[in-house]
Amino acid sequence: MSERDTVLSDLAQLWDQRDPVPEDLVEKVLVTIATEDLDTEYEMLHLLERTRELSGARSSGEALTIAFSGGSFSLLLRVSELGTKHCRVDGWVTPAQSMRVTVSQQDLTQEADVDPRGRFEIARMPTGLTRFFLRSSDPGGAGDGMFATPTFEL
Amino acid sequence: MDVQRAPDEADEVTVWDRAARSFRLWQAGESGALDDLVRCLTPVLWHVVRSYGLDKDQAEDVVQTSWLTLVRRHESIADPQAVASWLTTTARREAWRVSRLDGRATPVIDEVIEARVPSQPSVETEVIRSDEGDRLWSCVQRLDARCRRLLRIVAFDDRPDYQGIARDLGMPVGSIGPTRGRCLGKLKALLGGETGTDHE
Repeated sequence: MSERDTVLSDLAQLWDQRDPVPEDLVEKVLVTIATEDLDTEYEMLHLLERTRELSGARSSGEALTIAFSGGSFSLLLRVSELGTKHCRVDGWVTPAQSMRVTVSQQDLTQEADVDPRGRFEIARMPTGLTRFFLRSSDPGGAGDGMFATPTFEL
Repeated sequence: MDVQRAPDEADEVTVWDRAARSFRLWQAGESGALDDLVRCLTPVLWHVVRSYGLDKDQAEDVVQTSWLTLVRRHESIADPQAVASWLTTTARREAWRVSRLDGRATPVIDEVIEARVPSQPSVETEVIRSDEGDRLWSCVQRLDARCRRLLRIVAFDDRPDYQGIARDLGMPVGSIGPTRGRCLGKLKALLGGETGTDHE
């Protein structure tokens, strides 16, 4: 074995230590694959940012805002804690349009309607690794897109 | 999770071979084999993608998208033995696209990475290992960004696609091999020059 390979191998170990693979990435990939509907080509949205903020004085938990985008479409989620294992999600899509949203988790899917103003809500859902799928319920209308988020932690 | 990489070429080959074996099993209908493939290659994809300067969220997105591309297009992979190369190439292409798309990508700031490293190992041997690691790390930081990216890719990608890497780095393909040798040479010189004139 040459010196060159030893150094590369040391470097691989070093990067593993200094910039390790996120612990839940393998799990996220598995959920992504498991929830994908292979008969449909969704446009993949990208996670733009997650911001945590203290919510209003009357509520105890924190609120999490997660933004996704893809091309001219964007999805904003505002997540409020309901105890430790559940949350409420308020969502907005831009441009505003009627859509059907499907929330997929490991063993559970829920659906909701996005109203014509682009708003929807999931009153209660478990926390954990999640994907959102959105498809226009207004065929032939302004938007006929189908979008999916990557798997992310709620 | 860790990538277990023994400092031994035989083991490096094993990652690629293990991937090829899982891929064959999966294509033959054994659905659990896909999980093995994901566990085996996700760490490799992470490091390849991060070398493009994507932040953590972007890098995770690219890794997920690459896997979906595999699941959708696996029938187009003519040689199952090449599945790892196919995936790393797909991930590199997507990372490169995303890094140019929104202009958000910055070279991975190593001070930020440093801050995430848990320090204070308790056992003496770990302290020694960590000192050696610190020394190597500080030498890596003194390399130029292009060298750092190239070395990170080749450290994890056993069969690098030089043509694609050359395009991404804006270099002629013929210069990648020599550049890789030059970068390793520089690194060794920084480490104290014990190894003299070892070159490709």
